[in-house]
Amino acid sequence: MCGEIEEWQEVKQVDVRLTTTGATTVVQLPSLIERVEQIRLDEIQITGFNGGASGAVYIDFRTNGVNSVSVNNENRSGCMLMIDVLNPHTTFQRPKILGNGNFMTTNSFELSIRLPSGVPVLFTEAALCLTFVCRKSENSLSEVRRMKAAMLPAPSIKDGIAYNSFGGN
Amino acid sequence: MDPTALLNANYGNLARVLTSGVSLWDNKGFERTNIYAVDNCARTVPLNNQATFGGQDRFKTRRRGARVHKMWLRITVSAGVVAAANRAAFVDDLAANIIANCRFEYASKTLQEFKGDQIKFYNRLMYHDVAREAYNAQGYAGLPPGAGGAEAQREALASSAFILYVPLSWLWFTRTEDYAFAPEALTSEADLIIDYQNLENLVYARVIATGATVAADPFTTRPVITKSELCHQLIFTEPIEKKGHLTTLEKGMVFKILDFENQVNAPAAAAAGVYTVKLDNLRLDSHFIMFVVRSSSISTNWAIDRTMSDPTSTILPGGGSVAALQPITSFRLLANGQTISDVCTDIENRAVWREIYFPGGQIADYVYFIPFAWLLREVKNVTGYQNLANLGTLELELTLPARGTTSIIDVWNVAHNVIHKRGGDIIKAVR
Repeated sequence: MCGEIEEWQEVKQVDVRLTTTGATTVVQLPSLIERVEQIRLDEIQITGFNGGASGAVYIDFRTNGVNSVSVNNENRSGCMLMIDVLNPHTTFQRPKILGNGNFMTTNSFELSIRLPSGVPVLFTEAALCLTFVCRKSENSLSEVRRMKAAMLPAPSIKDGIAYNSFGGN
Repeated sequence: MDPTALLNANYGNLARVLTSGVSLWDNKGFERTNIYAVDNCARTVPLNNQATFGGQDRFKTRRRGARVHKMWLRITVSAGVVAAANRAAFVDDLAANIIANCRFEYASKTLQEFKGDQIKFYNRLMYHDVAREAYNAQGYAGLPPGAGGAEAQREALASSAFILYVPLSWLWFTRTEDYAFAPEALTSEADLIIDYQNLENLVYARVIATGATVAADPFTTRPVITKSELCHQLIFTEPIEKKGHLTTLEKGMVFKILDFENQVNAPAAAAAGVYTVKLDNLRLDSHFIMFVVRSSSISTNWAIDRTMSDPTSTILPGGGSVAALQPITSFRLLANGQTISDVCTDIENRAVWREIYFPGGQIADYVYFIPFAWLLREVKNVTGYQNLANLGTLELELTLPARGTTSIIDVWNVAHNVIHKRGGDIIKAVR
């Protein structure tokens, strides 16, 4: 997976800007995002990072039903990022996967950025460009719409009498 | 098939007697039709190296021919050494507070997850302390601050090795025997993933000379989790019965569960006034809404007891309250500007409403709830629900008294959900 979007998927771009600290923050969005399958980190820029010391941090994304899929040898929760204070802007050629979901619906999530010790990292500004990869709704697929339109009404039982296409009984 | 449809046949012993020729002297009910043996001593350890406070452990439920029912963690913690200049105590109800997050996953899909403090508040509504002695003993709970011994036990714990038991009783398959989890019916293994709370939020500490909160690390040697074991019951059934179970699960089986939706971390200033929380994350069919107001100091290291309501002065130097929960004056629930639940005061909610919906409970803790059904203690047999998405713009209006610190308001929807197991896979219906 190198950031592809399959034909049954659609994307929502979500930009998040955090200031001061990587302690757990609840990010509220003014939009409801539905049927989320994956959250990817495309770009990040952190200024004033960790008193000028480069290093690795764990970024942890959480919301109902979506959790980090990364595993690491330090038993930390989250996905590891390498921050170089001299090159604070990173565009990932292969976007980092922050979490996988299964048709999750959300308009808020928790984010934290912590040093391997578990201490929230300090910075001036952290700007994150996220892609929410969502499953297209059934009706937005033209094939499904055509198929539904082509379907004959199926007989159903109503008041004990089978409905049929001849009308009347 | 929905197993609750069989509930009366399985558990309603009187109904069986009234509607059939079964004798009162017969062995009847579940034991007659389902012969099973229970193994209480199964234990698994996490994959890879052991995590400590602030870390994450993953446990596998192996595919084996027994169903998994009750589950609990057995956590061994080493003795810490508190610096000579400080005194420190673990928070009350360590079993709840140590779980920053617990989730049960299959094929990277989260089936059910919860945080320890949610469970603590849920259980404070459900049960009276006198019915919780076993839990309190397992989890170092029911030890309020103040002189007289209880808090002293928690202070002693900060510098002694101990073993803690954490019941994972929110997971659906631990709740009733017919919900027991059948790992053999799945194509792969399910994961239980535990995030442990940071030590900074599990211990409060004071400087002996000044009584101030310790700014740096109060320990010279920190306590660490040296071993964590996932203990579980295994239910073995006879082959014919087992085959029946597997056939049912292959065809598909639906389990009603309770789930949490979160609307957390809403801020409130320290001044008295009316504060409104928009509940736009809550969409599922609600069993009841539960909320707490806590001091924002819960996120300050080594400061207070995250889930404590009792404001009795601590025995640590400096005294004063270490409680996090704060009482409200009153609340209203509004939808699209209309009143859904009219003004309900603090004591009305904690005394009158609790006695109606959770009879025989306790009123001490500042945990508030808004019910949408009867029989709130039941998981499967509740009488109703309110779909919160249908209500449109939902707002919780809180009238708060003046407080010493700013506050954080956490609201949770205890919601109905469905787990569907079929053809080697398992999913949750609504997310």
